[in-house]
Amino acid sequence: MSDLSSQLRQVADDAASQARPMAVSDVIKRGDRRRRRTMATRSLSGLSAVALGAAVIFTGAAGHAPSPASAAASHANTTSEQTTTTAGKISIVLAYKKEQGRNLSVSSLTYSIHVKDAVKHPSLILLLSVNGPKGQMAASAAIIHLAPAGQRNYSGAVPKKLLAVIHVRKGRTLETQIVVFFVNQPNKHGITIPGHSILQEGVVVS
Amino acid sequence: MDRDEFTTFYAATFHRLVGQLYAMTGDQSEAQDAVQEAFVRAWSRHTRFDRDGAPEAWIRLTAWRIAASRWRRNREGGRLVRLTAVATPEAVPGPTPDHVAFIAALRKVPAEQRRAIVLYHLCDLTVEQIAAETGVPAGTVKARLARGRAALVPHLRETAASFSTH
Repeated sequence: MSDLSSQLRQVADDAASQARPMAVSDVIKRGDRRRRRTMATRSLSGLSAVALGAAVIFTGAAGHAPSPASAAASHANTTSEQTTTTAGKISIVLAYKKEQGRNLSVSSLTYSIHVKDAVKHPSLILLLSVNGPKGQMAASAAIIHLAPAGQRNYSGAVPKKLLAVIHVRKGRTLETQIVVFFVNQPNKHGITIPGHSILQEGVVVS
Repeated sequence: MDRDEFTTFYAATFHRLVGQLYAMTGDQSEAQDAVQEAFVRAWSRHTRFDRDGAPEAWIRLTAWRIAASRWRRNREGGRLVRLTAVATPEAVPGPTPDHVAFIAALRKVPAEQRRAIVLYHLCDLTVEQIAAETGVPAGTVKARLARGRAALVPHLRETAASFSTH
């Protein structure tokens, strides 16, 4: 069977020499995007299983959207993500501090949204999920009702009060994900799982 | 696995894995797509990726599953036909005629037998390692190897005979 081995090797070598790999930066970018999608789905499933009473509800000040982003602390890391779909465009910028394996401390989370079609109850759902080193996961969520309704552009910063949600997690964490969903959310007293959010974007901090 | 380790791992193994998947699937573009997608999935779980210490085997297994899943999905579309049909030079860009004939012979072997043969003869895995990677008992692997070889040998002879006449 050595002939079989050598023929197989020759065929494989020929195929290998013709392979044109994607740039590793693109592989990493696609991998990060896939991870955010997977984690968001998992977090949402987790949220539907746990009591939503744990979620912090916040209603933005009537008549105006949250104030524009404050400058991130100069010593914080900053990461930004942007997604464009047929429904519109969402971008978020997260400024944070995190030591390896320790809690995440978020300095600011800002968002900018443009939707093609205005909605009656524009809201942001802020979803935080934390993965522990043994695969355990915790998730919490908060909602921001945007005002005024019927606009196509929203931008601002997530209030500090809500960012505190992200600080409460204790214990060693492997990675933390923050996902922002833009939804048409008619229920002001609870969070509807945004299975069909209009736009979504997230960041992973590990 | 951090970004630097992943970059090194990607550069060191991508081509080899495409070669292995090509031998398993007989389709160059499918092999490359499946391996590429497996690397994307690997990075998406990179914090846990090398925990079991066999990242290359993980990529190969994932790429195989991706390819197998695509065959199933596209079976109605007729893409599976390419696995059982006699290869044309266009289906396998580049290789010499003897490689085309060999791949054509390999394609006649059932997929799981072909996979076992490639893992054993190309990837140099032991029967036990193949059993672990494919999730079947060692006896099944041995049977697949024996049947695969038995199915392949006549084709190899045919290939040799056809070459001797040219």
